Amino acid sequence: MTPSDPEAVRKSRQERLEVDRAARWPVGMFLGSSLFWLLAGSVLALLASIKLHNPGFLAEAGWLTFGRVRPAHLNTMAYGWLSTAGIGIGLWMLSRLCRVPIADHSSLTLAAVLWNMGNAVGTFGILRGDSTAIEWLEYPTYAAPFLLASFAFVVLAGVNLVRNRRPGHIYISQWYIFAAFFWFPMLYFTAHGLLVLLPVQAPAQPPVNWWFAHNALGLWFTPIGLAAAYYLIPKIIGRPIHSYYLSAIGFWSLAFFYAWNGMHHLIGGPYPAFLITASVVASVMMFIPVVTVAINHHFTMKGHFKALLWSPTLRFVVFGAMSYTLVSVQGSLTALRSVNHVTHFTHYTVAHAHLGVYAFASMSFFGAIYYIMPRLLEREWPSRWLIRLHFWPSAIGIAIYWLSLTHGGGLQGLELNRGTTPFMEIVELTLPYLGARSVGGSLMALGHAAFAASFIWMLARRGLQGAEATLFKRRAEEAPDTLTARS
Amino acid sequence: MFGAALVVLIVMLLLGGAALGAFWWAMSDGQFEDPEEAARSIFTPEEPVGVPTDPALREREE
Repeated sequence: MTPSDPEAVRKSRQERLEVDRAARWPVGMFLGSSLFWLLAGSVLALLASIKLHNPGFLAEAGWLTFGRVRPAHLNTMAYGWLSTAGIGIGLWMLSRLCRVPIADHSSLTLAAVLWNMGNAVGTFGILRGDSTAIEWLEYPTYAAPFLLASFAFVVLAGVNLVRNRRPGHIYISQWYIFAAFFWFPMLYFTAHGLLVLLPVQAPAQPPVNWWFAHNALGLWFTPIGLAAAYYLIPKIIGRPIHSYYLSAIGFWSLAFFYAWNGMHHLIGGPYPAFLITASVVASVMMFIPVVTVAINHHFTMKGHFKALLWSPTLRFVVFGAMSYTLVSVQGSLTALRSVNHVTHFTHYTVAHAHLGVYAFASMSFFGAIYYIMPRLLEREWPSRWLIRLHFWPSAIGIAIYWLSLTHGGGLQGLELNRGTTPFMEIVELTLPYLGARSVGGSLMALGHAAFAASFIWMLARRGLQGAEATLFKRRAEEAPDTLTARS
Repeated sequence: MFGAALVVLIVMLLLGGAALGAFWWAMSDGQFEDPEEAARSIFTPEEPVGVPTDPALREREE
């Protein structure tokens, strides 16, 4: 350990406490409300999932039909859960990395209120039948101004943090977050403008649509998830990332090439071949940022893997980081025409999307929230059992989900291509896999309920400030020596 | 139609231009000159390299 002078330790502790206390209200508001949408989105998800193998389930009311609950699920998860949590996590990390306390409390309060209103109005609009019918942008037009106005305040707060940052290096997570805070509003505004407000001609709409939908993943959720992994893994195990150089290559290759990816959703569609081919090439090029991230996290963790038995944050974030590698490699391969020929328009794609949005992004965000909340509240998580009850059902649930739908979707694609199998037979073929998806989804929802219970209990419990960290094992239990291995 | 094309063009140039501009700034600012130091920039005297930030892990350290 570096010998350090007690005065410097005191000063840096003071600085950290100031940063975390200033973040308590604005960041806490975003994180807390994101949980509400996570639960709402889970209920909608289960409804949609069950309807696919039991079509009569709750089909009497128009607002509960598949055509409405499915987009309502997607949008509450994308904008309600992931984006809300992403804003909170992003602001906290940016404030910590710039070493500047968040000052814009009133504007961020307004931003949180507007953001949640946008989501409430949007979800209500979809269920009421006002969906725009544009995938990933189903929130009706009247929800967009709330979201855009809110995000303007978020960007402003981000700019203020970066402008006032303490001198020194800009860490890789800062690059990711600050870039994401620009990319998201730009993507959303452009797509909403060209598809809803001032729609381009019909044939040009799907490219705009998929440019947006794919970039929402890659240039909004991904940067926040990676920023969390690049900050939290080194902080928790106390070891700098293996190669900062690689992390920089990863960031800049994502920044320059990711935006081309979306057109691989249109393989086989009536579009110029160059458009699709360029996108396939860009998708395969994603191996570069992905490999840099995978190598980096693996070698940073090397020798410290036993810490996964202890630290909840680390376990969630490492699960997320590993899933990132998996989903990205799968994505690059799926973008190849030969593979896409089978998987397009099947449940395989749905499984792939959930591997990215859930196993990578959501699990990383869960981990980040487990790290952030005790520091905001200066209070620990109330129960390691609840954290376990969050981790295992979520992890096993998404595994069941992904394996069953990937397999079922593959079979579905092969049968559809054969051309001689009656369509209804193919539908029946997928039923057991859809049932398994509902089982996996129920487990994930159980995990979310445990998470919410944990969160609310933590907010309500006042007596245990400064208690020891809630880890998966008690300190008295044997701690592996590898935890203390030096870098 | 021309309006929409113009929007796309402007957004394209802004997005690409912003990334290029940021990259150029980072180069000229010396952000890529000392990667070791950059990797250590998240550690402080309170939470130095070698110290896990989960308190119970830290206890084992001593």
